[in-house]
Amino acid sequence: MSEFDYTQLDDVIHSRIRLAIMAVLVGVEAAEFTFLKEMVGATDGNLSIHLKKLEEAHYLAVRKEFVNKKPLSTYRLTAKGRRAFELYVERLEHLIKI
Amino acid sequence: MESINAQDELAFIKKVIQDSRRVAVYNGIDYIVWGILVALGMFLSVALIWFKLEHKFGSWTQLVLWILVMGGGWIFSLVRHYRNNATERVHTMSGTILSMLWLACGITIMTFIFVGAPFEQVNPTPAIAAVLGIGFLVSGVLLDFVYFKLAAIGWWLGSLLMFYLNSPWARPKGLNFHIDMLLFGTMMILFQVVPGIILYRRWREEVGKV
Repeated sequence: MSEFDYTQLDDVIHSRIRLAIMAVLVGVEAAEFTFLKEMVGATDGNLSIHLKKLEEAHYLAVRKEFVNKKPLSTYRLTAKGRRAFELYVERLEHLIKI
Repeated sequence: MESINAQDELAFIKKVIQDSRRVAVYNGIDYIVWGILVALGMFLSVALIWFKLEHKFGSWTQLVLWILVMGGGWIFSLVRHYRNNATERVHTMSGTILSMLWLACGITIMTFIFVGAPFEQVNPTPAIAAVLGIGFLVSGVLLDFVYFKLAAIGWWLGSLLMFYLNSPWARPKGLNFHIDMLLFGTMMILFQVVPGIILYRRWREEVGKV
């Protein structure tokens, strides 16, 4: 088991909820808000805050539309987000080897 | 200063990715519905010939039967596709490729049935079986589902057999020209409906784990 300094990691991803969001989106092409909520296990408000932070970092792209008069937000990883996630995982793996 | 355990973090990432992929696994309903419809169409088609119902109801009965079978299948798939697109909470690249693959196979098969068969007077079933072999092999790879890969081999072997049954070498020996339609219907059950049910059960199990 290796303990390491969290400052070596991407601040934007380095939060349990944001990391979970990124991990869900890495595994699929795109996911709707309720799916993310179910997978991550966060409340609506909490999830929205973290999604906003990832969006602001341009790690996520969102498509908002109305389906059957209900709002639907679909999120997908951007190329920048995918790269950041890969880098984050690489850094974790590297730190384990230290 | 906050510190975290890197191994736990990686294990967490792996679990989240696996869980989300489990939910995104395709459920196989289309394979079951299309398989049952086409098998039913094949058996009814043979019944029309064997019981000489075509003479009773008219020569267009075969065409009407297949328009109903194919039309029913397409309506089911299109309605399902439309509903899924509107309500599906997760989209995967493999799902998109699967949809396009079967759309391409479907158009090819429809061409064989509604253009090749009536205008060229050829039995389309051996060629359709070969196309289904392609569809099942690619689906098996995309879904990582061995039963579809095995089904693909079954479809290609069946295609060879049906080509033989429709050849000049087989017909003079007294083999029934329409026996391959019965064979095709049976293959639909064995190589489409049965793997479809196994896939559906796998999907239920995977979703249940999350």
